[in-house]
Amino acid sequence: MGPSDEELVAAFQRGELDAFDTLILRWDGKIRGAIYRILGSEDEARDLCQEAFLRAYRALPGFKGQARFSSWLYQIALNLCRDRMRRRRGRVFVSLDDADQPGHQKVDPGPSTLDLVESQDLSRAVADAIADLPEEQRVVIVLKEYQDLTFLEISETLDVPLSTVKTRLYRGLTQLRESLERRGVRGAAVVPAPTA
Amino acid sequence: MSCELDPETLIEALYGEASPATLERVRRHVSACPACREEWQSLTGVRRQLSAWKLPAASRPRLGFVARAQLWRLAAAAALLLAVFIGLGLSRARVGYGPGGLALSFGRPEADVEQQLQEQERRHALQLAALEDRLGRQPLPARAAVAVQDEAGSLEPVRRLIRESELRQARRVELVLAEQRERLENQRRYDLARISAGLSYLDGKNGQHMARTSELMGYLLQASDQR
Repeated sequence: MGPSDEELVAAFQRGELDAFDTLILRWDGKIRGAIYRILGSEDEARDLCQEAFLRAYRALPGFKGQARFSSWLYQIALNLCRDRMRRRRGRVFVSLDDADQPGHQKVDPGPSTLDLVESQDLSRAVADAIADLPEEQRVVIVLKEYQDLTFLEISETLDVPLSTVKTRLYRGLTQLRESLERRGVRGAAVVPAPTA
Repeated sequence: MSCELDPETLIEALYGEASPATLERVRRHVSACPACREEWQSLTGVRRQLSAWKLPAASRPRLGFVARAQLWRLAAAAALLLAVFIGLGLSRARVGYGPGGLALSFGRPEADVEQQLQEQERRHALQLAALEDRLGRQPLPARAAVAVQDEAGSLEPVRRLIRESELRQARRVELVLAEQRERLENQRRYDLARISAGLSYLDGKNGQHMARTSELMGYLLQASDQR
């Protein structure tokens, strides 16, 4: 068990600059994965991840520890994602898949979930469906589903109330369900009721 | 959802962050309410589908990404190069650098090879002639003197080594001889001492024998006188 993030931050602030290397090794994969899932681009994920760590390096001497280091780092990365998405909005994206059209309903029931998994189309369908979500819902779903942050950590990272996090997550999941159905991903598996 | 179970509570239970009491309440309600049960199952299914989205090669080592992204381009380039080399080989093409610069030629190379061999042979003959000429111009006595000097110079260390070796051998022999002499001397002294002791013993024996003989002779003389 190595030193905690907070201990590494304190060491960095005392002048032990190597401590930042450990923080990079610890968080690089997670931050890059989150950026990729939000933006959907490997190159952008790599670039913005480096930029996030660069900004963190510059700002860390003034970090007061009001929030967890991880939340603070996610904030930096998400701000970079928002900037990038804002720049993207001026562009026009044309999809060759007619299932991307809003309101389009497929008459063909399409392949089963198992078939899609086998052909890796499900992964692509999920990526596309998440990319179509509103930014706020997408970010919450990425942080919860793929980064395993708690509701409290997401609330802290996004600086929004806990109830907002849960509401965004619920709306995001319901929209994803509809979006996946439009893409031909049918039939949620039957699962038992929650157990205490 | 048109039910008493609000979405926030459902989400808390769905992600396992509800308190045990809340989770138990949700469980009872979902068991009893078909609409909420369907919603629960549906959202759980969506979560399962979300897990199918794997990170691409971006999160793996860079090599894998390069290999996958540029595989076709690299393969195409390799195939093109291979085709070019095969074509050049079949056409017996040759690339050479001559007086006119880089040259590419096709066809049978035997005539060119023969010509190159002849040129090489002439060049070697000239070099040999030059070497013989250089060696031949140097006078023999001078060369012999140089050889003698060289020989003397090279033999001197050997001679010195031999002299040193002989000295060492002589010293060693001298030491061995001195040791043997001392041992012989000791042996001689010991033997003399034993001879001397033996002679003394014999002298003693002879003296007693003569004394007894003299005594007997005296007795005989006395007896003869008494008769």
